[in-house]
Amino acid sequence: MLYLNGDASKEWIPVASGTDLVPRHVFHGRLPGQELAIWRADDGFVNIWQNRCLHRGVRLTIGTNDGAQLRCQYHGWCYANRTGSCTYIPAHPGDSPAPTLTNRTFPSIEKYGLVWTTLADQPPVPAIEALENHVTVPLRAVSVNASMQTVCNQLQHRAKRFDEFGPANDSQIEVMSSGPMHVEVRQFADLPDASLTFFIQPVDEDRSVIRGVLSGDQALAEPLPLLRFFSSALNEMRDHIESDGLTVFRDTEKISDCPGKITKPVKPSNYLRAPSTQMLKVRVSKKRQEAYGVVALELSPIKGMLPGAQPGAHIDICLPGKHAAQYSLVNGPAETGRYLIGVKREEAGGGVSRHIHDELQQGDEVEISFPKNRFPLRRDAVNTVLIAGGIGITPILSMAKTLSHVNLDFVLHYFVRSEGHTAFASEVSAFEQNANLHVGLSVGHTQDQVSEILEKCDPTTQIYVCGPPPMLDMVQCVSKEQGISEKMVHTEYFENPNTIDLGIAFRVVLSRSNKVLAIPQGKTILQVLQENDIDVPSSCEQGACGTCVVKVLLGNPVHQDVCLTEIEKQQGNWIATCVSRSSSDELILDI
Amino acid sequence: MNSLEIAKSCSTYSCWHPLFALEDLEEGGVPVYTQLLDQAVLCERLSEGKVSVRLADQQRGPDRQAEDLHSQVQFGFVWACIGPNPQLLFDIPEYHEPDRRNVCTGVFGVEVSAPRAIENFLDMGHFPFVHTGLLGIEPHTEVVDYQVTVSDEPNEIVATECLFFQPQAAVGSVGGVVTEYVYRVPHPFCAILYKSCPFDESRRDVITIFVQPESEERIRAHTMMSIVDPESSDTSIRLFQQMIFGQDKPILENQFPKKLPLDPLDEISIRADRVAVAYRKWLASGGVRYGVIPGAQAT
Amino acid sequence: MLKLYDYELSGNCFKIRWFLNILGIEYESVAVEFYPSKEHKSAWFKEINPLGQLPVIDDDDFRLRDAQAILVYIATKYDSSGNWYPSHDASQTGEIAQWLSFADSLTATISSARLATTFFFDFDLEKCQTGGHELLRILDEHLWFQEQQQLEWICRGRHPSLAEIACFPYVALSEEGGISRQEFAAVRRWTDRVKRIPGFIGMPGIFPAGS
Repeated sequence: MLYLNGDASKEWIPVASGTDLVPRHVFHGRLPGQELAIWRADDGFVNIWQNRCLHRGVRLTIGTNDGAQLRCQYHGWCYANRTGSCTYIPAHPGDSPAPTLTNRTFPSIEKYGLVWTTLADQPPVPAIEALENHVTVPLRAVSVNASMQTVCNQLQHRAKRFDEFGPANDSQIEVMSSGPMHVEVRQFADLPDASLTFFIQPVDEDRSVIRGVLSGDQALAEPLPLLRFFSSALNEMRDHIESDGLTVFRDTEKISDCPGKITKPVKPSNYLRAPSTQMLKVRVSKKRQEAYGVVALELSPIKGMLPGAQPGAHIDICLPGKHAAQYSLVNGPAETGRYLIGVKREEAGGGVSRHIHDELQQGDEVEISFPKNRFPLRRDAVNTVLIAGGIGITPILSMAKTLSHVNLDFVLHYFVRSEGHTAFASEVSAFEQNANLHVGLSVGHTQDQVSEILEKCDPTTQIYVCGPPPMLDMVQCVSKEQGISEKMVHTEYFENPNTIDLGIAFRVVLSRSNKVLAIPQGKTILQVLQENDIDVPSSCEQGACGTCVVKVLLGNPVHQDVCLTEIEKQQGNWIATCVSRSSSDELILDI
Repeated sequence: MNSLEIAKSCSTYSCWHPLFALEDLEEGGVPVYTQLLDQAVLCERLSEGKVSVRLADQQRGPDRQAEDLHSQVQFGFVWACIGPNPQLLFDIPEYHEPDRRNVCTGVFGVEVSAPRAIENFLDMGHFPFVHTGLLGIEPHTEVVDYQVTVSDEPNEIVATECLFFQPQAAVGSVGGVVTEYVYRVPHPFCAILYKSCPFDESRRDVITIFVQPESEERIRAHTMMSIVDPESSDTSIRLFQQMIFGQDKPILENQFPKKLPLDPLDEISIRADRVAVAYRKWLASGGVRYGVIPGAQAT
Repeated sequence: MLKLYDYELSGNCFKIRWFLNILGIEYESVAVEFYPSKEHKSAWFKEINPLGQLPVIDDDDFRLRDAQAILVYIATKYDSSGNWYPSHDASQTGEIAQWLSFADSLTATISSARLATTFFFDFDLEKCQTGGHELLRILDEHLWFQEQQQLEWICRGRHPSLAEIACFPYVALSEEGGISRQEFAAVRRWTDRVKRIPGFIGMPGIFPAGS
């Protein structure tokens, strides 16, 4: 039987051996018209990607696998394990890459010691009877400069000569392609329990790879002689095919004659200011008491993969009938399989944290937003100082994990009320001498300590602070006194400590909706927009989370939020509609 | 349309293209073969600095000059134009200053299109990753915003205020400094870089790349430096430049596709790529078809 | 001090720089401009090496040419561990010598292909590429079987040997000569391992391996 007209684009195709994918390596794979960068992350996940950096088309196979990310050799762009989303663009250390910036990924499975991918939408997984429930050992893959058809014919023909281990005759050789293209040789006289299956990976019109898999049980206890035998046999066959004048050596580098489709990714937009309303359902895969009044939640995907997130990012947790609450991800760069958050029980506020503490169970489903990042971490600092107070440790810990992963110097200072209040203590202590725990300091002593920390900073040190608002104010105050540039101090507020003044009345002109609305005293822009059925996503509604920020085309906003940076506030191009006002009679907004 | 037809229909057909450093040709020697825009050409150095360039398959009649291609010697290189009406070749005024050292730093074969090579020459973001320890070093990776202007007269792109932290910017410099660059693109396949001169603060060193497109996907990259440096030897200047180019070559040869895509959606550009974005637009609007993948608007 | 007649873009010179760096030996580099001025064919250099080839070392007035010979000399004289070239062991030195000779074949094929593509040397490019491709096939199969036996290096033993130093550069530069390593998965893994050997330095055309 010969079914070689089967369409490889509709099947799972073997593209590597499992053992090809050693740690911290990028395997150079190939399908017709499509080069692949294949790499195994430290968590074992096999990534199969288009072999092209989104930026300037450089092959990712000349880049490096750091265990969690693949880094392009040209400009150091990093792409995350699993999702392929771009995690870092070194030319702009202060920006978070847009979440739409994602490499083209292909599905991967490992079976029979081989790694498989497919261009189709989830075809049935290959099931070869001879290989099920047996030990399998892949042979050395042999590339042949010949078409899949030629190779298949030759294999069928020449497999009879694999007779050192007993003759195979026609009836013991089967060529099939109901699943992947394969030729199966059964029964060797000397190896009664063994069989050999060849899969043929198409590479080009005139190039293929023979991927053999031996299966059996006792026969494979000492596979080396068998591997040598079949390697020689396949080499001989390859030489025969190639000497037939069917092919000559081709410079395989020249792939432009069969270009892969260039996928057109979505243009990056300014992620920070493009609030996503898309929601995501996840499952609480773990809930544990992390410290006094703090639980840790692990959130796992229900379907597919979680979107990539960079250090400093947070998600909103949305419970029916409650305002969304923001929680920073504690994930390190290697942790892309689930989100980890820490939730402090707040007696005041909207009740999300109390619900999480009291009601939410392991196994429950919750709705969350896509990760957003208004606290991005620069990775171009010779020194970084991280300061956390209480539950503010969550984004700070994610930053520390990242800096540690990319071998950049940092010092972490973690202020807590007591030992019992120390969330993520073991993860913090893993940083050893880079982590300093400050337990039970008074307000005054905390300030002294912060002064001391900041005094040691040189002008190139980047400083990140997260904690309760009084602490953030204190750090900003101290750094100002010490003459540290505002640019170097990065903070994230979870609540807005400003008293909001809604005293001035003004008008907003909605340029895209072609509407003019009056904003009276005592009402926020956001409230008026909502009353008029203008859909602007919002979350904290106190000027902290940045969800409701919109673009200002004309007018002078009066900022009362803590989510825009000082520079953004000065530029006046954005406004947090839930708290900020206008000093001009009119604001023209881009909605 | 095949490559040769594209070459003939492209605006670069009437551009001057570099073929050889004059010093690499022997006066009165045998004609040397090279390739330009998919056509074989022969180049010959005559006496008194004169040169003759002709298509290799052109039969020679009695009137030699009538069959010659347009040619000239400029910046130490032999330039030729295959088309009938050559455009004016740009000038580099600094080149003519009497106290400058003008050093041809070598020609390299690279499997890439001409515009990809130019774009790489205009790029600072790769310094820490490709020229590690020389033109850049991690973690100093930031490309701060710079200015790009495109002018009609002369028709060129200029990028100014290009700042980058460099551990050893030139053969004569010691220690890390923030270096300021100015880039100039006066020709689709030629670019000029001006950088702070370590020996004289008031002047700038000039580094050029003149790309000879052998075909759409293979080039000869000619490099030249015009610098104020009384100390370094010609050899050490050449060796430094060769090292830099040797580091760029494998990157260029691993770019896919080899031709430069002009559709802005084909590759992601960031703020640091402002000059590259301007260059791609400029090529498209200037009718350059050779070595590029035209954008949707051009097809 | 040991003097090395050196050219930055030469894989054979790189071997010596790299090995000296591994052993922590200081040396003086004398740049010989192979391209474009062909200084290695100049009269002054032919006095030093009549073959007009790089590299050459001069160690306290002892002059030696040929990259592989220089590696053997340096290892024997300066590597007190004896790991790189175990000169007391017949089978190991024999095995290393076999691969040093293989490295010469790499120079004859891959290096020549690279000179043709990059520096326009008038060689039969297709022949060089076909030859280089064939050598990579042989090396790939050898390394694959080494891996099956939990051996990481070209020769037997737990430690890399001069075979790594001698063979690596032109394997790693093959793509500059238009010879892809895409199908040589075991070779690609081996080049990654070699780059992680302590003391590794790069050269233009060879990327670092990452952490």
